[in-house]
Amino acid sequence: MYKYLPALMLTILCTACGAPATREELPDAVPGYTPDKSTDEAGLWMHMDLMEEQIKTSGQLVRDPELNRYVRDVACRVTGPYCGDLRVYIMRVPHFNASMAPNGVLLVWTGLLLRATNEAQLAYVLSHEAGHYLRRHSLQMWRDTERKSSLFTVLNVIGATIGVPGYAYDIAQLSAIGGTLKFSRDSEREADRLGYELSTVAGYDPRQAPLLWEALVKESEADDDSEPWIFFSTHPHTKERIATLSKLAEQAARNSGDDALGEERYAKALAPWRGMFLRDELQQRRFGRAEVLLDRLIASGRGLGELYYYQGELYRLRRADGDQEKAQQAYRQALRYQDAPPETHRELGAVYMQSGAAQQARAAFQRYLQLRPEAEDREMIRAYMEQLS
Amino acid sequence: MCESRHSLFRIVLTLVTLAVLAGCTQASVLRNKEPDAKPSQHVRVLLMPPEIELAELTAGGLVAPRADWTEQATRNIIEALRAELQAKNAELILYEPPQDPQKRYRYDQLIKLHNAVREAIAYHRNRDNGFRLTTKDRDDLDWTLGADVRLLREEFDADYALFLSVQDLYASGGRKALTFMLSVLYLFPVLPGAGQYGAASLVDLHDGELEWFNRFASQTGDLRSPDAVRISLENILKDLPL
Repeated sequence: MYKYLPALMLTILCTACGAPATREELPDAVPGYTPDKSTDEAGLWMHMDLMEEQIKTSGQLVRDPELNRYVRDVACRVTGPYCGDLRVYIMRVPHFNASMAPNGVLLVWTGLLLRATNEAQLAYVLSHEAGHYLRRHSLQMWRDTERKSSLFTVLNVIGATIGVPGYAYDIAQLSAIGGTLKFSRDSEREADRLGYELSTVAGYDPRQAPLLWEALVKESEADDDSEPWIFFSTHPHTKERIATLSKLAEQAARNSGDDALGEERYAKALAPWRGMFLRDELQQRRFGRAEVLLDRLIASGRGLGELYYYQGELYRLRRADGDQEKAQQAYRQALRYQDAPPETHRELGAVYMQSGAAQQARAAFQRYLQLRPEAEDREMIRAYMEQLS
Repeated sequence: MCESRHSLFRIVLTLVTLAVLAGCTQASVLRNKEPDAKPSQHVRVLLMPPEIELAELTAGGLVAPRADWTEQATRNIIEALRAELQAKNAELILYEPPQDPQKRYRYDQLIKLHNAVREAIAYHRNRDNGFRLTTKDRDDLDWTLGADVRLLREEFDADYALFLSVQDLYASGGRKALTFMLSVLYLFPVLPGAGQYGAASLVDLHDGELEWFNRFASQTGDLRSPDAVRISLENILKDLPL
């Protein structure tokens, strides 16, 4: 009898393991919600509170009060009564992401702020994250992982006892991991829907969400790092998201108010920062995606002097065949606009200098020194000018 | 018959080993070889925000943080620490973050600096990993946080800062049952992996030097109980030069 008992248990457990994961549905968090101290949820909150202390003192935290107020106001506009439960932190990370912790910490990466082209797009992402908070997805996910990992350990112990071949575990484990990731994708779908609802109710144009995802797909296709394998991605496949969101957007009547996009406000809030975010992006040396991003921002038609300057910078840094000409062209294009940074003259001067156009190089350097008489590199530029004469 | 008796013997042996190993407690102390003299008979010790987290180790090996236990343990540790220091004629002061954001930023950076130094000491000193620094004597503690710590001395009128970091894991019922089962099956002690781990350090706020550093680990103890905390604290504060 004892001989068969472990086998029997293994059979039962394996069946439980293979069964489709049912998500434990939790009631939504209410405004002002805090979990009871003795619960696993309170444990997660406490852990995240400790992380929050790290975030507050992090060198990556963007502390500018203006920008913080702006992003927080957008978050409050879409979350309404939950505004007081969320704490927004802007982190200087040059990739597209935002994340929500169970205790209400909402992290927004600067790579996201660079890529959104209007307030409606930002509002949608913030609403999506708020959706995770409202639906308490972290807790759901935690309980699911806890259940599966415990089950697995038990299986392993029993299996080791009765001698089940190793590959059986690989298969079972793979199915459990796949299950966890599916669980996560389901949460993301739910947050997508909630995000769409919250931002639409707040008066934002619902068609902005699919536009943003579309732009991200194009960037990622141009990127040197390919897209992750769908089975192991925690987010629903982006193309699928676009389809769903477009459908949702069509279903909704368009809010025709001037506020539906918030393009003007967004551009104004981001203007002092975009140069820094673009520099951070170029530092990644992921030129494929940066090229697509810059083309898109240029097409949106705002701050063209600055954008063409950074396009020139991209070609200068990439140094592929023909890039020097492209850089020169971009810098010259930039200088047609009022907002071209003074550094455009310096870079243009350097390009001229390399191509042997001494007179033009001198003129460009001269202009740079006129505009930036206190520039840190003024002595070096003067030395170049002497060399050229 | 004989064979089964033999097995029984092995099981008993396993359980005994398990019990012995379960009582394992370690403290790895480093002290500054040239400590400054105590500034006075009665010293004031500033307890920096202690990093304490109590958690349950689930059957599957997940560390599940527990807020209620942590709160209780923090209270217990502070009370026991106060009593312990009092016996050494030292007074415990609790760190309060200042209201002024500028000050707060500077103090936060000092705390982060300390944590970076703590990691460095743990990494370079406490392991035979080939990462020993040739500039550091293995048995000496010659690290400093720099002169800026005087800011803390002035603000809190304190002589020393005590930093404490503890992670305390308790095996859940399921995990205990599972590891016990494994121990019996393999006739080899399998520990649930619970226990206390952490580091404590004492910084002289007159010059920023670390006077004492302890990396501790213990398979026993219960920080949730005020009585048991006193025993754990003996290990945590081993050879504290006060």
